[in-house]
Amino acid sequence: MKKKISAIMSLLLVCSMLGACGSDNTEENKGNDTEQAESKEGEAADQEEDGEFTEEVTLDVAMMWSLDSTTDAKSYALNNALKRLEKDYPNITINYDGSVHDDYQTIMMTYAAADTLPDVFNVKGSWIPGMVENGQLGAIDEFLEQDKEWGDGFSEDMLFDMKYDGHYYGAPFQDLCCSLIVYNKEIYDSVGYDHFPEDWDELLDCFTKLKDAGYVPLGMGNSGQWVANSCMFGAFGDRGAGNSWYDDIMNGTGDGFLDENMLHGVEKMAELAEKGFMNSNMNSIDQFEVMPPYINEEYASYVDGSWTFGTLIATAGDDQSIVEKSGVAVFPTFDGAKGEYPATPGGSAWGQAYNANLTGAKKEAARIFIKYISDAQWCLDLAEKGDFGGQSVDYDYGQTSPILDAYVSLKESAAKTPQYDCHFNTSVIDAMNTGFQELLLGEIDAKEWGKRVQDEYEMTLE
Amino acid sequence: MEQNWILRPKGKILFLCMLPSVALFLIFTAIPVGMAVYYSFFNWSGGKNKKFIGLANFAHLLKDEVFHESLMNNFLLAVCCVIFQVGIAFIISSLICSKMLKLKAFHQFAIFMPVVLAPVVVGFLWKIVYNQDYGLLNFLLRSMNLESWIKPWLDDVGIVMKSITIPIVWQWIGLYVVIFVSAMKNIPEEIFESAALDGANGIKKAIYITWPMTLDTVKISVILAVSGCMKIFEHIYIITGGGPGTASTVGAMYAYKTSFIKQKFGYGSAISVGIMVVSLVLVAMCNIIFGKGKERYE
Repeated sequence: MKKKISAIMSLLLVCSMLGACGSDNTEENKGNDTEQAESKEGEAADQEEDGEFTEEVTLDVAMMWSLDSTTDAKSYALNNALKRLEKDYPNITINYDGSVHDDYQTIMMTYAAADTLPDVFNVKGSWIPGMVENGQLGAIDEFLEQDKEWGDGFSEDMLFDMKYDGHYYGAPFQDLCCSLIVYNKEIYDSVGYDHFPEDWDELLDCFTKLKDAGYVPLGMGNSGQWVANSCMFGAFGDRGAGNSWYDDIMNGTGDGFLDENMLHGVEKMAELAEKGFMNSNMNSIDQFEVMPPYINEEYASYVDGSWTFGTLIATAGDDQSIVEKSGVAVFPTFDGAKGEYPATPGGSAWGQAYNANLTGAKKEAARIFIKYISDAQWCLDLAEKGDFGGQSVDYDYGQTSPILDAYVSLKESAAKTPQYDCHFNTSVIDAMNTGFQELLLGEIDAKEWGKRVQDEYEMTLE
Repeated sequence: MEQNWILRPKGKILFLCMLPSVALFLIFTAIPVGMAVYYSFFNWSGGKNKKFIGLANFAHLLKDEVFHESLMNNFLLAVCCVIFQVGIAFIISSLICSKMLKLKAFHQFAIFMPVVLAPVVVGFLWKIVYNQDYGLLNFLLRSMNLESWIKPWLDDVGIVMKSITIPIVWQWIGLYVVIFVSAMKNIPEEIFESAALDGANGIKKAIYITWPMTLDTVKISVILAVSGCMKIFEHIYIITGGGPGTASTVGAMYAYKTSFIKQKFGYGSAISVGIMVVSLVLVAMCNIIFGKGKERYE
C-alpha cells in the first residue's frame, strides 16, 4: 500500500514539474504570436487618424531603473513619463522590466547574444559599435528630423556619445559630469582651506592636514570596478595627456596605453592612494555606500559623478545640513599636465535606443516613448530631484539644494572632455577597471597597469 | 499482475515516466553544455555574426594567466571546503550521533539553517559583516579592544579569498551534517557496543568504526564539495565582484566577465569548457584517491 502511494505521489510530482514548464512555454508562444500579429498589423496599416497615432501597440522595455525607487531621480522621471504617455497615448502599452545599473549590462548582453533585445532600452556609448555591426540597433536620425522641436533640444555635445559611423543611435536622457569631488566646506575650512585646492601641491598639503585631523581626505566607492575609471582616470588621463590621446586610442595611432603623458596622470592618481589619502575599503564599497561616512563627517570629501546629487540629497533625508555645507570641485592640475583645467569628462554616456527590427506601428510607438523619456518635461522632472537631463531647461536648481547651484556654476566654467568608458572597447575598459583596483592598492604601478591594458588594446586592434 | 505496471513499469511506461526528468536534464544541462562547446570554437561578440577560429580560444586559454589564477582560487576553495566543510561536518555529526550531546534536534536545525538561504542572501549578509566602517566583525573586535586585529577583509589581495571562504564553508556545513548523520545512523549499534566493551573511547570509535563505515559517504561528500567549489559564483559576485583586481576571481566569475562585460562569448564559452574539464579531472582523482571506499575495510 505504502509503495503504491509513493509511486502515485512520484508520478504527480513529475507531472507538476512538466506542467510548470509547459505554462511558461505557452505564455512565451502566445507572446511571440501576438508580437508577430502586431508587427504584421503595423506593416500593413501604418495609419494615423487626424495626424495622431492610434494603433494599439505593446512595447517591451528594459531599463536600469526600478519603478519603486525612492532615491533615484530617473525612477521618478520615468514614472511621470509613463503617466504622461498613458494619458496622451492610451493605445501604447509598456511592458517594463527594470533593474539596477551594475546588473543591467549583464541583462542586456544576454539579450544581445541571443538577439532578443527588447523594443526600447538604455544603450551605453561603448555598446553601440558592436550592436550596430550586429544589426541590433536602430538609428534615431529620422526621429530627430521628424520632430524638430524635440530633436533640436539636444546639443552636438550631448549627441557625441551616441554617434557612430555618422549616425545617432540613442536619445540622450542625461547630462553628466563624471569626475566631481563633493567636499565638506566646513571641514576643509578647519584645516585652512576656504576653497578646494587648485594645484597639486595644494591638494597634497590639504589632504595631509585632513588626514592628520583624523578625516579620510577622499572617499571612493569602487566595488563596481568602474568608478575609478569614470570618475578619477577620466580626469587624470585627460589632465596628463590632453584630448589628442583620446583621438589616438580611437584611431589606433600613437603609443596607446604606454603613452608617457597619460601614465603621468595615472601616477598622480596612484599617489593619492599610496599616501593614504583615500579610504582603505574603496574596492569593497560602492558609490552609494560612500555617502553615509561622508554624511557622518568621517570622510572630508568623496569622488563621484553628477549622478550623485539626487541620491546624496535623498540619503541625507531630513537633515540636509551636511549637503548644504558641501561644495563641488574638480581635481586640480599638476606639473607637466597637457590637458585643460578646470575640466571634467562629461556628456550623455547613455541614451534611449530602440531595436533595429522594429517597423511600422511599433517603430512609431518606440519613437513616441523615446521622446517622452528624453524631452524637456523629462528633464524638468529630473531637475526637481536634483538630476540633469539631456536637454537644457530653465530651472532654479537652488530651490532643490544649494549644492546643485554650486554644481551648475562649476559646470558652466569647466571644459568637457571625452568619457573614455563610453567609447573604448568593452574588453579594454574591463582591463582598465580591474587594473585600477590593483593600482590603487599598490599591487602594481602605473607602467604595469599601462602594459596590461595595452596588451588587451592590441588584441582589439587585430 | 495488473498492478505491476505502476510498481514495476517497463518499456513504454518506464520511458514515459522518465521522459520529463530526462527532458529537463537535456534542456537545462546537456544541450547548454553542447552549445558552450560549439560556441568555444568561434570568435563571437553576440548577435548574428560568428567567425569560426577552431582551437584558437583554447590555445589562448592555456596561456591566460588570469584563468590560471582563477583556477588556483577554485582549488584553494576546494581544499578549504573539503577540510572544513566535510571535516567539521563529520565531527559535528559524530557528536550528534553520540549520547553526550543534548538538544540534538535544535543543533541540527540551527546548523542546517544557512543551507536554505540563497547564496545571494549569504553574500550580502557577509558583505555587511565585513564592512570596514560599520561591519559586525570590526565592531566586535573594537568592542573587545582588539583593534590591532582589524584588517581590510575584502580589500587586501592576500586575505580576500580567505575572507570569502568563510561564508561558503559556513553555509554548506549543515548539508554535510545531514548526509553524515543519516550515514552514521545506519551503522549497526552492536559494533559500537562491542567496541565499548573492549574499552574504546569516543575518539577511537570515530577513527576505527565511524570513519571506515562511512567512507563511501565521505567520498560522495568530498566529490560534492569539490564540484561545488569549481562552479562557485554567487558569493564571489555579491561580496567582491572578483576583485580587488582579479584577486578573488574564480573560474565561473572569469567566464561571466569575459562573456557579459568584455562581450567575448566565444572565449567565455572556452573558459567554461576548461572549467568543466578540470572539474571532471578533479572528480576522477577523488574517485581514485578514495578507491573503493568501504570495501577496503571489509
